[in-house]
Amino acid sequence: MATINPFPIRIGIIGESAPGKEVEVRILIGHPMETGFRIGINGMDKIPKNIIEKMVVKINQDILFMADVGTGIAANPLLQFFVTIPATGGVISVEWFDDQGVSRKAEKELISPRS
Amino acid sequence: MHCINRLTQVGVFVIAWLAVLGHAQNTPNSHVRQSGSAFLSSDLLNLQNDEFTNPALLWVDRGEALWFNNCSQCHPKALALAGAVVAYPVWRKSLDRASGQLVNLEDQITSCISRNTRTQPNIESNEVLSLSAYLSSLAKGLKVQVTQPSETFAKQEWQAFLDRGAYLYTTRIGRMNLSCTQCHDGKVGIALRAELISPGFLTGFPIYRQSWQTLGSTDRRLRACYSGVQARIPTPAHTDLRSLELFLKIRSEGMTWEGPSIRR
Amino acid sequence: MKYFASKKGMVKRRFLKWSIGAFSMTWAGVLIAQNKNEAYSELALKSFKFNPEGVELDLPSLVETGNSIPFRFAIKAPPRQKIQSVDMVAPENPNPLLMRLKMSSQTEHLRFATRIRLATSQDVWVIATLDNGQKIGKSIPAVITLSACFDAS
Repeated sequence: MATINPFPIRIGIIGESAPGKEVEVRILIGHPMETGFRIGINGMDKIPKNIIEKMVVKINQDILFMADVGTGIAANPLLQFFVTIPATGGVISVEWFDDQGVSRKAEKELISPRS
Repeated sequence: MHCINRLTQVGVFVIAWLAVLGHAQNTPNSHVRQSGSAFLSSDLLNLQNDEFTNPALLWVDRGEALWFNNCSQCHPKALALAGAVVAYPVWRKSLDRASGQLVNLEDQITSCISRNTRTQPNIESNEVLSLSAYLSSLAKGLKVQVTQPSETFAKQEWQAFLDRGAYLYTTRIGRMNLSCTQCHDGKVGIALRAELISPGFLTGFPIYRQSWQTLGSTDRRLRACYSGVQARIPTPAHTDLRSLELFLKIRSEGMTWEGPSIRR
Repeated sequence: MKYFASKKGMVKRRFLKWSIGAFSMTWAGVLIAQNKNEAYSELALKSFKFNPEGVELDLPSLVETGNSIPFRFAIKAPPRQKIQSVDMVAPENPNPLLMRLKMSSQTEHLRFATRIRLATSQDVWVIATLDNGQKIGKSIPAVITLSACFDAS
């Protein structure tokens, strides 16, 4: 069976997506964000820690912000923020890196025929 | 004293059965039956309704990808299986015995996967839950409709499972000595610390439960109920859990399916 | 050594024992505080007195689950200044620094939302560092209610 994508990412653009306009970006990242504090089924062993440590959000090639993430962010992290669409349009991209050496990236066109 | 206890047991059993029969004959009761969504706080309800922040939708996305890469080879139209979501659990004859067993959606998906690959996925694995979430999302808007098997032997066994489910629903268990009906029929809307007791209808599974921080099936939620009254938790896929699920699904007949949902 | 054996010595010994004990406990306290993410203990935050102007926070005051709490804030930098970084802090969490955003050079106005975890009822802080090193910040309290049933599924 084809392997399931363990880390899906959903990016949503809310608002009128035209150059110069401000839109809301919602990024939903699939990741368990296991803190390492929870105890497993046997009641003894801690479930091993597995959290995203760093995220980078870019518009085209320019970094909008970088985030250092801790155990205090909920599972399946959500990032919600506003951006102004550049005159030439472009893509918004997010890339994350976790403490197990896994990383994923996703991007979405800021201007689409149907936002 | 003993015969009075017995009488009470039988009486409760009969009442539960009348409730079941009433639903099966489509008595107009649906206006008082509320799904669990009616008991969510506005924050959680907004989360559920927002397609860009609802974490359950991550599983739906995965399920859709898995479907088109694998299942669609035998099941070209996923929508055709949406009816199964609101009709399960169903009675299936066991391969090795004359008798049958109840099979729910996750069991069926697991069985399909193991028949077509050489793996045996866990029913709470991401693969199975993603496909369950995808099918569940396609069934949104359908009415819950459980069907009885037509063949005599199958019907008898199905009935026995349903009786067992009704019995479990009305029997006190656990250190807290509570039966399902006491809270989920008798104390609906009452606060248990910060939680409001819902009537426990099956209209929106699998659920993304905040306390699990992940998606889980009906099987897992029922096991959590046993844990909640401090009773011994049945193993996953235990027949008692399937019998209980059958009873609860019939109790929810006629209600609208909501697709995968958020719960506290 | 013979001095310490005498009665006067016993008093001195007791005094030394207690003062060494107190001294090491103070140092232990400092070291523990340092381990728990330096500046972000509740006491340190209260003593800093950040300028709250320009910072707006939104968090449900009564939270039903500590696992996932919607948290949003808006920061407007004072005129002619830019936001360099933003720290979200929950001092009673095992790891108080929830997230640190490092902004691009031109951010004057930031609106952000995410979902956080809180280990217990506490104040949640947002502290923004501006390009001149000045810090502005504000806190908002949250009360976590416990779930009623124990779930061992």
